[in-house]
Amino acid sequence: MSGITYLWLASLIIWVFFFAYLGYLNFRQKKLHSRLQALIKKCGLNLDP
Amino acid sequence: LKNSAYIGNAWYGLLTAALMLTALGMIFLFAPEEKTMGLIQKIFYFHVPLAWVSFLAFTVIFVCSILYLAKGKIIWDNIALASGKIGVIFNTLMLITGVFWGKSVWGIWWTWDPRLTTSLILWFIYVGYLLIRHFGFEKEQGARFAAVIGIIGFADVPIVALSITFWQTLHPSALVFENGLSSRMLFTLMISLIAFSSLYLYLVKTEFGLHKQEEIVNEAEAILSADEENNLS
Repeated sequence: MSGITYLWLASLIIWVFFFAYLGYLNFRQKKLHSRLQALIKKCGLNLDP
Repeated sequence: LKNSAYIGNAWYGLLTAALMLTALGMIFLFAPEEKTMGLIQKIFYFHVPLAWVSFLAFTVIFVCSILYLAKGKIIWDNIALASGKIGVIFNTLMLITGVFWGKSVWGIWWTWDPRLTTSLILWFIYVGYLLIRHFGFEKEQGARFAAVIGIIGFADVPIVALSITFWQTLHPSALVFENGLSSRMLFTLMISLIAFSSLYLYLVKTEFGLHKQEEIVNEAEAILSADEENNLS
């Protein structure tokens, strides 16, 4: 493989890694939100204005 | 997150994304091609900032671990943990980009050179730092053990940084400090350093906030299930 291929590959891996991590953070945020909703429902709270 | 904090974080995220794109554009389009190594030298603009940010992350762990052991406040452990997760990602990418550069310039993926070996040891130390919390210790005990690793393990950071001075190594010397870069190369490196540092801050901030919220929900769920058990009995 040539230098430019390694350069592109390195760049791609960096971006894929960070997007994957951001996706993982987003997944955790959504999971947290649904757990919070379940808690609110369990407590019988109505948080709607 | 409170609404204003959430919006603030989103704006900061956009700014970081813009910085990252600017850095990427500059690396490919603005930075000149190095004469002897050619295009592969441009990996340097990823590799050096990744190394710098992982050192920064491990320094944050070191400071926060001392503060956690001295003051016992869980916030210091939470910051150290967030910094550890992000630091290991940056360190992993630093190793990967280094391996690509090595294959292209030296013709081999890996060699047991002092700089490379101490860098790999550093990676193992901080992967261990993250794993120790999952080995069945009580939460506070795990945090204390991790803090000890965070302090002792930091000893490898200056060893990695100075390994090119201590030993004869294949790894290139620190060109930045030897005026070995043209002004365009230096400018690109600076933008890349700022972009990666900003990304580190954004990810640590988000990771820390999320972890804090998860802890609150964990506690609320535990209280609720304990209440339910009491009501049943």
